[in-house]
Amino acid sequence: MNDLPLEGIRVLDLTVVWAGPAATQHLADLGAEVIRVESSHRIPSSTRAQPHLTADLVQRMGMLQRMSFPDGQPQPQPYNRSSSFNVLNRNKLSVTMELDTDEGAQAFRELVAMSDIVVENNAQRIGNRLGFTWEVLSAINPKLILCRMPPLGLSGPYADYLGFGAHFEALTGLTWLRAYPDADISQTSPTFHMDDVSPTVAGFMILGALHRRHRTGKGCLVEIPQAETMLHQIGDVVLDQSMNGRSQPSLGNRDRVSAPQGCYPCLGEDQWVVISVRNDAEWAALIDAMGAPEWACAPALATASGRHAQHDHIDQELAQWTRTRSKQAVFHCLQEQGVPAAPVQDEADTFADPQVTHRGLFKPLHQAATGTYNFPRQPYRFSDMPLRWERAAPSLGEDNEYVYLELLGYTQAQYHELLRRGLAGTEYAQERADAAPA
Amino acid sequence: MDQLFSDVRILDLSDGIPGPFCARIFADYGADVIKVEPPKGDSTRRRGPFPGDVPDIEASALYLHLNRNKRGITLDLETDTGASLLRELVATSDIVIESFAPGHMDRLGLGFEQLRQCKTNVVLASVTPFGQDGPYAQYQGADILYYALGGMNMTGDPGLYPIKKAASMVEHQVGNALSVATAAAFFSARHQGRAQHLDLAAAEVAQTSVDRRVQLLLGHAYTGECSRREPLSSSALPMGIFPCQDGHVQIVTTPAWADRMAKALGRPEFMDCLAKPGGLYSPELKGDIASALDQWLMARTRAEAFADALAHQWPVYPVNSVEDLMEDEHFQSREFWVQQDHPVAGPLTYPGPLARIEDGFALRYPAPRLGEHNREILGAQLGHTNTDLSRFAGVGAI
Repeated sequence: MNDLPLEGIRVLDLTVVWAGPAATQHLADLGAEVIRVESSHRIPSSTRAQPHLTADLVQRMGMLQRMSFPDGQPQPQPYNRSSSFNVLNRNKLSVTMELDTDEGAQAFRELVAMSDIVVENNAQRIGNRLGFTWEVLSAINPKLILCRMPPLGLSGPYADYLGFGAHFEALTGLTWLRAYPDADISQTSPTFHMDDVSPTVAGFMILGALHRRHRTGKGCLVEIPQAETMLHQIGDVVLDQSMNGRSQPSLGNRDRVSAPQGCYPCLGEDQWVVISVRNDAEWAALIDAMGAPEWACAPALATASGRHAQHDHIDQELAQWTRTRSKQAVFHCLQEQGVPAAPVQDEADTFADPQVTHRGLFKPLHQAATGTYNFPRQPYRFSDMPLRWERAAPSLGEDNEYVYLELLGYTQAQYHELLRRGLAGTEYAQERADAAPA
Repeated sequence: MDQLFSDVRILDLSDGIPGPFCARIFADYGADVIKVEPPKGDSTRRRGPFPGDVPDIEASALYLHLNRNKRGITLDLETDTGASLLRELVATSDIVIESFAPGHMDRLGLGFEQLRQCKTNVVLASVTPFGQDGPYAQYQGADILYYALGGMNMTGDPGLYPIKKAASMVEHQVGNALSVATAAAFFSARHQGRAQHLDLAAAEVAQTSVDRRVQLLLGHAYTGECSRREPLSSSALPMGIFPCQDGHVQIVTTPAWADRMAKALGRPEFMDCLAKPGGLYSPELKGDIASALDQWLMARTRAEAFADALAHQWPVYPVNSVEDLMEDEHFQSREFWVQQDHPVAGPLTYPGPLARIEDGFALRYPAPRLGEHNREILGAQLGHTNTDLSRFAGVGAI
């Protein structure tokens, strides 16, 4: 009685970078058969790692690349060894298929006919060129659910514009709203919040579309215009603009309502704790936790408006108090009094967090290309439905035989002809043999 | 109109941002969501911003944003009558969303085991700061706390303090995660007939954030290293926020896009320098590109830099304020912004659909006034008489 809700559902996964693979990760963990359809001649950037990477090179690149590979070593086959791919593609299969050849396009059409869902997150121009449109795919399979995740949508003047999450955050006001209030905006480093939001909305919409298909028998196109999807995160700021004509400035670490709120230094190098006081009762509890220092007991600070007026002063005093204590000590001391506080964690802190350990946030998976490591699970769990935890991310083309021989029913001779001509494979190949029909 | 969740009823008992945002996403796509508030109302009714900055529990922007498309009733679940009315509602509902401290629903006689007595395949979606169990189960949460646990250490300038994301973005992100998990639990409940208790910890959503953190957790397991605040890249290619004539632009230039940058800047010779061994990390080249870029940007407004760079498929985007955003031609031409009238707050502009789908998003009604649908839902729907309703009010249940 523990079969997962998406068992029997087949997903073709054409996604790249982070948001797309994270979307189909929900489906794979819920039991769907997710098949990544990939090229063995073109490794999309920021998806699987590029074949030429060396240990020397990744040390000179940024933090993400430096921390990407077991012991800092990309080789051999970097495309099977990177953390950003491996952490977002468990329980999925990989087939290589060259969609810009007649053979690849034909195999893909056959797969579409026997699948339930197709997901892609290319800029719409690229998706259109590869034929991932509703007109093309619904003609093959009218029950299909096609989920497209173009960052700026399928229409409008910028529909063909490409970019990363940081670009779309700048365009939509989110960078403006989180700049340092006391330093130049260029000192604000990029974040990639869109990659947090769109995968969950894609998962939600696909589950909704499957549910409706149970009633109607009909498939549909789901468009996730990622920048618009993300704009709901600041719905209250948008309404303030609408109701008061007020373009909100950045508040930095402060809050419109809670005061004080901020990030305070603790013992040790680059160690911090955050504190957020939402009401007068929490302020009183904070005073108790600090041993009722005279500055904090000032009647002017007993109300939120008083604390907002003297926020700079409170920040200085609070920092004096936190600076001589560890972030863990402040965290527990305040939380035990009911005051919201948390340590600013790095990855080592998270692995050592007793709550994380208690709740089993990390679980091991073995992968041939890298070995056995602890991976984070999804941040949700169900009473009567353990999520699937079977297989680490697939190496490139790991499931070619399953897809070509079992699913598509190709003969051994047909399959070996594809291999010989470089139209399927398990290793990155710079050049492709003549793709024209023999 | 046959919306995705037209055949689903949800009781939203949750307070704050994550639970109500999740329920609102279902409501946008057709679910009949009944917002069940304590008699004093949801805490976001007091958070504003308010029209003219005059506090009014019926016109708080945060509440209006999180509760559109819902109907609303008041119930004091601490009273026997309130709890009993809730059980009547559960019998005809599919999903219950709640955000009380762990154990509180059990104490009210409304725990998972009790709710499945009312409805055999009920989904109870519980969202809390740290989850239903463990040493921190009773600890408090807040937006900045969650980000502290999931990426704040690497956000900002190395010489300054860590800085959070804008507004309440991380609490909204928790609501997004709750929505996909709740949809999965509902799918199982409806099509496999199983009751489900969903346990979602906001801290874990942040700790496993796709915005680099989840990759870096595995990266830590791979290398023993930790993230910190440092430039995204040390290459000679421009990466970051740069000033231009009328503000700033955001640039990310990957090696694959270097030729587009060189073309846009009118400096094709940069490609020859980049092609030399070690060229990509050459400090001289970095300086040359930076000064050419500065010259190029200072001759352009944000809009001009955006258009000229994208004409070469090199992504240079304007750093907009919310005012700029709402005037931007792209979102206007897609009719993203939607207008809706509210009886107290008046006509307002809201973000439209999160996603587009045939017979998908619809703006049906604005956020409910406190207890607006008590009579419609407790009376007409549950069949209680006016005398009953007066009695419920008399014992403080509604």
